[in-house]
Amino acid sequence: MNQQSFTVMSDLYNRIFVNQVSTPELLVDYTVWNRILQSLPKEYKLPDEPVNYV
Amino acid sequence: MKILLATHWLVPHVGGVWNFMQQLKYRLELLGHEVDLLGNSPDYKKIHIVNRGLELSKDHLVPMLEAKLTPQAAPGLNQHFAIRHYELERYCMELAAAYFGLEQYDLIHTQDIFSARSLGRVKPKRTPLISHVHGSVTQEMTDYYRDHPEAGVNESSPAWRYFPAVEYHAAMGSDLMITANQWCKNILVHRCGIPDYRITVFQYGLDAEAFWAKYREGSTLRRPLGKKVIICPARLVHVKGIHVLISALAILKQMRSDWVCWIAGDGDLRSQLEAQTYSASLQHDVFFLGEHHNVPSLLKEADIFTHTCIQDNQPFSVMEAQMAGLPSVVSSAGGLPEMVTHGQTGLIAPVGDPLATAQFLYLLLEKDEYRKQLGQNAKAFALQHWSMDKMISRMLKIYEGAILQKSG
Repeated sequence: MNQQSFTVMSDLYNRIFVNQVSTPELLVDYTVWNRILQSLPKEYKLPDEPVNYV
Repeated sequence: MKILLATHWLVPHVGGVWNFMQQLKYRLELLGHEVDLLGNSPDYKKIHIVNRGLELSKDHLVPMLEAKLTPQAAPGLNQHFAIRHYELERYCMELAAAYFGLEQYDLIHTQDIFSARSLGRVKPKRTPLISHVHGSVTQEMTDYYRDHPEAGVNESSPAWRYFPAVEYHAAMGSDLMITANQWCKNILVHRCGIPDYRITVFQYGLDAEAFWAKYREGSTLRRPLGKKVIICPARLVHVKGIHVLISALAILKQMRSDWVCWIAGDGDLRSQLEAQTYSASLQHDVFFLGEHHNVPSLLKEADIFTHTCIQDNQPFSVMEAQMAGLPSVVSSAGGLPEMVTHGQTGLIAPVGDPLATAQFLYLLLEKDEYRKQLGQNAKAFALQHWSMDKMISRMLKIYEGAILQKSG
């Protein structure tokens, strides 16, 4: 957690979203999001559609 | 075992779920297990593992979620602000749990439907997930929407259907769901469509040793001479039904005045309830003690316990009162009728019925022998039924069974 943080384009992580929206202006913390992406199950998607479509 | 206890709610916080998590952690660690506590920080700005000092600010997560989950990209989520609110909070927990890493745990035990659904989606497949349900969110939210028609949510609204959907998917993503009573299980089965076999029922335990230590400490508060004490330890929020109790006490005051009522707890409704007390001319009979660090010591000074809640699951306050040998006057809400046997360990009034409550309080004030007999019965029941050892042993059997099943 002490790794130096730097920001990258949020679009780098678009694969977890069901419908991908490009937001090149939004920068996110690379260390945090890379660590999250490495741990998420391969099939993980947002939003959680079975719960949303009610 | 290395166990993660997780909740969507704040840790630490005031209330039964936090007490339960702390007790469980303490007892499991005495048996040599390692336990972490995951939840929202008290300001809701971070997700943290509180006992380890690990945290992730939602500032890292929310901008991404808000930018990507637009009404066009995620129409289901954006059907109602309540759905969007709860879902974004849930996704923060999912992403934070992935950030902390769930690989290290042998078992995850969640304490509400939101964290159950969240962790069920991000945990390793081989890690068992046990989800404890300490009340019915579906029941609470539908009651809320019925009481607040101005919210514009009815049975055909997505916001109405959302909460049973979370309960259903929370159960289906867990290896087993645990409720403390049949009332809660019935809601999950009949209103949320969860198969009966996925839910087991067993009651909470009370740490008797800690209870008696506090009880023996005693209180500086003494009952007024010639009066009996009716005690109500509860948070001052709507579902606890303190307004019903004050209405009942106004009726009781017309019948007799050999009593005082101590209300131990704090909450948003305090000034409103104090105003109700004044307007009923009960300011010399009803005392708001605020948040009290030692309720057992107050029970020692009391004669009758009362809890006129609108909805409750299996409140610790009733367990403690029974352990102290007090008879209860409770409402028929939620799981209370499974805790108190009418005419044996207490008396049960219909929910929101001040007259019946007043009549039962009158009866217990009037008949000393009857009151003492109900109190003795309550104590005998509590010693046997609210055993912490029994609860821990059942929990461990469930943990071991779930781990065995996953590894098989």
